[in-house]
Amino acid sequence: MSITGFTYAQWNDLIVISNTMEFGHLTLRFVYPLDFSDIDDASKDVGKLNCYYADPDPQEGYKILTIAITNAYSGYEAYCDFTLKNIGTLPDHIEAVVITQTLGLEVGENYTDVNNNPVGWRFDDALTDEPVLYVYVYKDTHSSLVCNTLNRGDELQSKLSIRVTDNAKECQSYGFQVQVMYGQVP
Amino acid sequence: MNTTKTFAIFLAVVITLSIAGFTYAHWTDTICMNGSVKMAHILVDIKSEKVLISTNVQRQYQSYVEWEVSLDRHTLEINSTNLAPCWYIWVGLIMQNQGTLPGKIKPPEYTFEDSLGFEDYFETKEYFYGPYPENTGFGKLEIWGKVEIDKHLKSDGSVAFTTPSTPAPFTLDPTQKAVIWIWIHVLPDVPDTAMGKIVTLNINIIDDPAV
Repeated sequence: MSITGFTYAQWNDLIVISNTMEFGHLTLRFVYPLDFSDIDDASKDVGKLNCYYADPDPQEGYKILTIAITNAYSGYEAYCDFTLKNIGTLPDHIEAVVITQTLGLEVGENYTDVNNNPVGWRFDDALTDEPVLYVYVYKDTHSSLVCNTLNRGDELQSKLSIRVTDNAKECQSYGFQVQVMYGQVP
Repeated sequence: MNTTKTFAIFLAVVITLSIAGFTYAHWTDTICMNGSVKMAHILVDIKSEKVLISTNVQRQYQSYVEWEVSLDRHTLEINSTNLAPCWYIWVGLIMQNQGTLPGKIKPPEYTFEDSLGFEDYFETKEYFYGPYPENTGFGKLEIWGKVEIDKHLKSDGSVAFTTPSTPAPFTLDPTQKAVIWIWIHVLPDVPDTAMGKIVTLNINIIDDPAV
């Protein structure tokens, strides 16, 4: 028995299972191409438009798109063609486009596409209630960014347009922010 | 038995909450677009002015003229005395577009503050010159620095400059300057009832955005 027991003690082993798990990430960024134009031509270059990306992502692209217009006048129109790219590992689903405005402006009217998703806003002067700016953000003429899904590496060509109305005041500054909110595919 | 039931309910709640918590987790993020619109402005100022009265008129009518430009350089106020039939003066202005938009200079609008109806006995003519760059030496120009009443600016409302006038409307870009000469004349048939009356004439030079 003493010999058998000794022999049994020799027979054992260990199995190890090693599993490395990495979470995916959702990341939507602005990437080039970025183009912009206005209604002024070579014979009448009055309004000045500048569009640029800011706050670069170490991986790729940028977190902020800035549209700066100076010397605008009644009837002035500006257009910005920008590109969104899913640089993450999970599909990005655009859930909402939320607009906020600076003091002195208020949203007078919202415009939606056929699916009732937002594509544009009319900003009114908070004091006079007169329309001063129209801002549109869309992926094509009548289609909202909302409800679009970008798979890993996908890009989405989008547009932003601004129109200044006859009610805009001289020397006045107007500002707004458009937030594109995205999440996991529902 | 009661203890077992309570424990079972507690366990069910814990399991349900943990599952519900996992289901609620939904990753989201945002990116932003910042827009700013700074509006331009229109501003045409009077940079210099001349009010010329002929020595003949001064002598004949014993008429005197005083004038003043407002602090904001937008209004020229002229006070004239002893007006009579055929009285006239020439008013000249150098205007500059100090705004950020091109301005469209149009013919002046004349408004009379007169309830007596004497406005019908005035006539006016205007001549524009320019546009000129900001650093133009106007002192050397025949239409400003070397101008002489009755030689270049005639009593009949005509001008004798070699420089051609600019038909209005015309565009005045930011910083550019223009000269305007205005002839103000009292018609010969102004009635006697005008004697001693005061008539105020406002000359408004209109500039619209040229865009």
